[in-house]
This record gives sequence, C-alpha cells and structure tokens, in this order.
Amino acid sequence: MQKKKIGIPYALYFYEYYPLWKEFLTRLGAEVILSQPTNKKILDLGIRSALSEVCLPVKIFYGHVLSLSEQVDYILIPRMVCIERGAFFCPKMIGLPDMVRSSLQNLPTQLTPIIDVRQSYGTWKNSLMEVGKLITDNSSEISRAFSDSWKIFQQNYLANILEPNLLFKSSIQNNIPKKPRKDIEIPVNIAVLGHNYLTNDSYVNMDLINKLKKMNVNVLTPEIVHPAIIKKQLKKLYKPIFWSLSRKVVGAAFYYFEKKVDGIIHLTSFECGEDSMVGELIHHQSQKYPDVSYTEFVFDEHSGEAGINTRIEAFLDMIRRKKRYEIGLTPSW
Amino acid sequence: MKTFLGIDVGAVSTDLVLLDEYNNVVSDVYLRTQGQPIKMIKKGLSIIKEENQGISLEVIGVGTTGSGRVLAGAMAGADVVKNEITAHAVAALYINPDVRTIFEIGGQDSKIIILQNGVVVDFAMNTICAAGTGSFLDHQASRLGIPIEEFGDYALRAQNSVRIAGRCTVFAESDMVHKQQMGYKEEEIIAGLCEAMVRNYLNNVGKGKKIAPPIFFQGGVAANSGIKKSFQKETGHEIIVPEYYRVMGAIGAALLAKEEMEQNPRQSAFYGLELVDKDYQTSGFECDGCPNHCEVIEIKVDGEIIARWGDRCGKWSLGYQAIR
Repeated sequence: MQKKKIGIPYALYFYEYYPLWKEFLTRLGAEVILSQPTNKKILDLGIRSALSEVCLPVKIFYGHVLSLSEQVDYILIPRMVCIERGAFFCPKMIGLPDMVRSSLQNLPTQLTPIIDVRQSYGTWKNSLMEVGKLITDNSSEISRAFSDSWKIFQQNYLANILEPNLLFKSSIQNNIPKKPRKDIEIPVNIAVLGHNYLTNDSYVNMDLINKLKKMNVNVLTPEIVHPAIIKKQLKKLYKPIFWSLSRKVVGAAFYYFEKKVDGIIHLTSFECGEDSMVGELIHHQSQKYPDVSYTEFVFDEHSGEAGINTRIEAFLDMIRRKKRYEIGLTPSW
Repeated sequence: MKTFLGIDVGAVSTDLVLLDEYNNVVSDVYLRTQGQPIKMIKKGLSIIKEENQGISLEVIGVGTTGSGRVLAGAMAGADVVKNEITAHAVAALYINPDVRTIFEIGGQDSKIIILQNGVVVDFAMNTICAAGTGSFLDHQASRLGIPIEEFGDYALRAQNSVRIAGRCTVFAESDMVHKQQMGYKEEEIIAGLCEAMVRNYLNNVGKGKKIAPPIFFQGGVAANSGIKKSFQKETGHEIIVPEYYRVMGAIGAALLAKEEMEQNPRQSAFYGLELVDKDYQTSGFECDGCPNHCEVIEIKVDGEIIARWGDRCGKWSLGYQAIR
C-alpha cells in the first residue's frame, strides 16, 4: 500500500508543534511533507487568497497551504483552542480550519483535529489518536506512537534550553575591549522576542537574526528560557496572560529585563490583537529598566527591508555608542 | 582646505554639506530628490565645486545617510554609511551637547530621538503609515493652491484653529473639505492641520517617550513655522530650530566621517569631485535562483560594475552592504 502523504504548512503554530506531529505521523507510517520555508511565491499566494483584514502570518499560512495542495493527500490544520487552564489561542487560530475552508477551493482533504484540553475529545492524546485512525486501524500502535512522540517532543523542547548563565556568552557585559577601534567590535546581548512564527521566519523578519549575528550580537530568544523561569516571571503580573503563545514571550521579556541584557527587540505583526496588549505590557516593563534599550519592529506586507535595516542599525548604534561613552570613549568632534 | 563631506539622500530631498576641519559649514546644498538620487548627488557636488572655485578642496572623509545611503555610499565612495537616527543625533549634539529631544520630520518618515548625557537612549520612527510627514503637508498645500513655503505663515495668521482629524491622511482630507464647506477661513483650516499633524506625531511616534527640553526640531518640515508653534503649544516648551535644520542629516554624516577617520586613520575612499563628470548607470534584474525572486540592483561607472545589492542570500552582493 502506498504511504499516505500528509502536508504540514510551515507557518503559525507549527513553529511550535511541527516536531510532535512529524514524529507521530511518521511513526505510524505516513509520509510527512513540510512546506518550504516562506518565500516570495508563498507570500504572494497567501496575499492573493486570504481575507484582506487578517494579519500577515495568517496570510502566509494560506500561502503554505496552497503550496502543498498539489503534493499531498491530506493537509493538517488543527483547531488550536486550549492547552492549559485559563489560557487560549488567538481566535484566528481557533477559526483557522474554517477560514481556510471558506476561502480556498479544491484543496486536498483537511485534517482538523481539535486541541481543547478542557474536553475529553480535545486532549492531545485523543486528538492525535483521531488523526492516527486515518492511517492505521491498530489502536495500540497509535497509542504507542503517541506516547513515544510526546516524550521525544518534550525532551527535545528542553534540550534547546540553555543554562541561564550560559546565555550570556562568557559574561559579555564585562568583556568590552578597552579601546574598541570600531563600534562593531563591542559585543552586545540582544533578546529578540515575539511569536516564534515571526522570530523564526527569516523571510518575514528580513533575516533579522542573521543580520544581528553578523553584527557581532549575541542573540537571545524566548525558546531558550526554561518554562519554570517563564512561569515564575509571569507571577509578576496581577492577572495571568489570556493567550498561551504570548505567555512565553512576556515571561521571557521580563526575564531578560531582569538579567539586564543590552537590548530587547519585540517583533510584532501589524493588526495582531494579542500583541496590542502584550506589546504594551512589555513596553511598560521596559520603563522600569532604563539600562535596557527597548524597541518594537512591526511587520506587514509592505515593510521594506530598508526600513528594518535602518532600525536595526540605529538600535545597535544607540547601544554601542552608549557603551563607548560609559568606557570614556567620547567622540572627538 | 581639508574637508569632510556629508550626503543625506532622503525620499524627498538630497542634501550635501561640506565641513572644514573645525566643523564650520563651507557649503550646504538642499535639493529635491525627485526620484533621481544619482542626478541630484552629482548636481549637489557640482554646486559645491562651483561655490568653492579657486579654493583647493581636499575631501578627507565622506559619510552618507538617509534611505538612499547605500546608493550614495557606493556612488561617492563613502568612508562611513550610517542610519539617519545616528546622523541626526550627532549633528544636534554637536550644536548643543545638552539636547534631550529631537523631533525630525522629513518627507516620508518622522522620528523622535531621546538623548541623555550626550547619547541616544531611545528613539522611534513612524511605522507603516506616512501620515503626519512632509509629503502629507505637500499634498494638502498643493490641494489648497498655496506654495508649501507659505504654509506656515498662513497658520500663524489664524486667530483660531479648526479641529481636523489627524489620524489618517485620507480622513484629514475629507475633514478639511467638510470644514471648508462649512465656511471656515483658509488660515484657520491650515492652523488646524498643523495642530492635527503635531497631535498625530506626538501620539504615534512620540507615544510613551519622555519629552524633555532642550528640544530640537529639524528636517524639512521644520521650515514650517505653524508646525513649530503647534509643537510649542502641545509640549509647553521652547522649540529650537537649528540654523541648518534642513541639512542636519548631512552634517551628522560629515561629523561621523570625521569620527571614523580619526578612529581608523586611512585614505578616504572618495572618488573625488570629478565624479560629477562620470557616467553612472543603475540597472536591476530579477534573480531566478530561488522562489524569492530578489530584485538585484547594480551600479556601474563608465560601464564597470562598482556595487551590487538587493539579494537576500548575498550571492550577488558586491561592495557596499546595507549593514556593515
């Protein structure tokens, strides 16, 4: 029998959950096809087919779905509702299967398991089991595949986490050359925060992370902060954050402020509802830490690369010139 | 005479400044870019050449800034290519080391820069909308049939101002039409427009920023006395418009070139004032190496490629890079 081909769009929540699904489906004998990383063609496909009012990441999701449609038997579009008490996903992710179904025609069969842990049908296990049944009838095999892949998913997640003290490359803070000849020689720690479908999609964020690295920046992200630290940091809020995916961003932001990194860049997409709250929270917190420079980059369809480059350059210049000043290297003019 | 050259290529204007070794302005040129940055840089340099006829000029450092800084840097042979924020801050700090706030409003973008003890500590630029920038004023001035240079004086003559919605250019325009039809005077409408623009600027670009005096107001729009007055009214502080407000970016670029050459002494990469006689061509092509289809731009001097950029992967990049 031919292997069933299941397509996974490389967008939105799959930046978080792709490894789990891939492991699970492959173990059951399906062939998993991940769409290409976002490129101009995918972006154009998405913009042309999606509703004009939705945010850029959702449009990009459409593009990924379309780019897969000719190659696969099924496309996986889970309905992500709730994975923990008191927090939910963005309404656009909850409605994603409906949005895609209503605006795109002639797609392969869509698999839309519901992840809503408040309901018995919506637990991770039951939800994945439901999809597994399409591939095999052997329910004990499905069950085993689930527990194995769940375990691997958790382990790999934790494997990315660094010891907090290792985050700051050999304590860069005290490592500034006495007389740096060029500003670029001054090493800095910068945390890049935001939903990981922005921070990790180098097409959308115009290769921000690599640009920073090339400019001698030690880049820190929310993914390397231990969940326990995030949880602890979130206790600082008088009310828990309502959105699951934003919890990590806010917790990491608070942590990095406390650790006095040199700068924090918050990435957000235009029209993001979550970020309109979360951005304010982080901005508010930034005012308590005047030593930590803070800025926000907004992405949308027509963000030109020049605009982002100017902001990155200006942000780094600000930090480095401040440091020069602190070590007594004032400009001679 | 040893000099430093600063070039600021913006969306609306191209500015050049020549400073002597003691930072005195030898020449300053302000030109409309009109979508032809190369032509304007050449024109600017030939003006500088003419103005200084009979003086032997030695350019020992060149800095470029503005949204066209990479192009300008490649074309002129710059020693330093810097963003506009740093350039504007440096120029203002040179004039007044105590400056705390800079409002900079240019043709298509606006910025706020917050400084403390002589360094930038915070800044913001307008995000994805050009509302509240020079282009908006230009557009409204031409719609009312008033030369942009007189726009500010109209505002100052007004006894009262009309409240105009400033959030969006399109809404502001329909609001203006409405107020005109209600019979308000032109002066009052223009004054209202200036106030709307300042409100828009302070609520968007200036949101959450600690605005403290001394406040500098620079960029092309600083010519508009109506806007200056509105800023004074809204902030409650004196607004200082520096003498060379239009070319502050270029002054900053020249100062940064000086700083660079002092820190890393070397021969300037400048192609010389003779470059005005050279034939520069730019061309572009779409790379089909991957689905990104980047637009690659090439710049040639007398048929020889001197710089190339625009590709994401870097396989075509040559010479100047947007980010060093």
